Amino acid sequence: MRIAGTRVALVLAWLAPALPLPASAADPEPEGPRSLKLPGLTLHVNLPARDGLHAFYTGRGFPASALAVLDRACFVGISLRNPRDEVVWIDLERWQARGIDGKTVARIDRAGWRSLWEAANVPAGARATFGWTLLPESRDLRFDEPVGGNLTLVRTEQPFTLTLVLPTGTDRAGEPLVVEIPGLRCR
Amino acid sequence: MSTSLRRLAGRLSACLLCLALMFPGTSCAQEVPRGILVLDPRPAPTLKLRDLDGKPFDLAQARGEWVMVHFWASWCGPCRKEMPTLDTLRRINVTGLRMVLVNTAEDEDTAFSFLATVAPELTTLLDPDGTATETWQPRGLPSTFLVDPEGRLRYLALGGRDWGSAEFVTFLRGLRG
Repeated sequence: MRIAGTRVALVLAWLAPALPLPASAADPEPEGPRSLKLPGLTLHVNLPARDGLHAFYTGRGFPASALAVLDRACFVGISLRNPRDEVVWIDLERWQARGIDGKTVARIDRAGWRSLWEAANVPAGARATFGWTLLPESRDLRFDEPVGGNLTLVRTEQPFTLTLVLPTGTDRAGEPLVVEIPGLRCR
Repeated sequence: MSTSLRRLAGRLSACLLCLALMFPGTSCAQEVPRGILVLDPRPAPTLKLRDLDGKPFDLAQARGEWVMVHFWASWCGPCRKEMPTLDTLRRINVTGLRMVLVNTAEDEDTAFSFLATVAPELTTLLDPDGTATETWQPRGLPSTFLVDPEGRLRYLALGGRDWGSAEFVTFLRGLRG
């Protein structure tokens, strides 16, 4: 992790004694939530299980036919809080997921979901709820401001590493925070 | 800007500062708690919805008082945590402040069941397709806007908080000036 020009190589595996991380990053098991409190950031990561996603969205108006669409995606639940006096930016275009084969795992953005839900005839209210469960594409986080939601990727069966690049400063010109989260697996 | 105009602006600022110091209860002297974003005043978007009893509400009819417009959904964790504090605020009854809840994109039964459990004295407007919420562009759920008596957006509360705490009650009471 880089904070204000100082490179601190932070990988979540450092927290192995405190977190339920797999013994081998090459073959991780589905895991529970991970939390981090760092000088520049409070971060919580959770990959929701497929059954839970089905129950959540069908309970909010999604037709059964839309569940297959959900199943083709990988949901990474992320919540962040900015404990810094300076602005920290979420800019999903700058985040990257990479499988153990080194290939990028594609992200599904809001426009992508819009066309998927139109094709699946998902009611407007359900679509709106879905939208509010996604992380914003871009957002400036003020002091102590929280944000939470799902980052959605094209489903992959292999473990992947998520790299969050978070610009800082009102004009995004500050040194970005970089957090690398290895050993994630879609559930 | 000409020198004379700059001088005039400077004197005006000084006068406003003096007024603020002389009348600390006025809104210009208002101390804004952390987590409350001061907005450049601009007209609030339209808000015309029905509540759980089918009673219509139009924000335009609420001119003359401060209105707290709170967007929420029952599935949202921070909303669930914050709702009882809004009920506390209702009981405190800040003079000159009207509280308006807007449920985002849920059906009537869901909103009713949730409120009946957590805050039975509160009611909410329903935005079943989420369109009104989208128009207001909150930064997430929950989000709370404070609309001044002239119908302008003035403050935005970022995320959830304890609205019943002394800090926020003092802030809200100070809005009237």
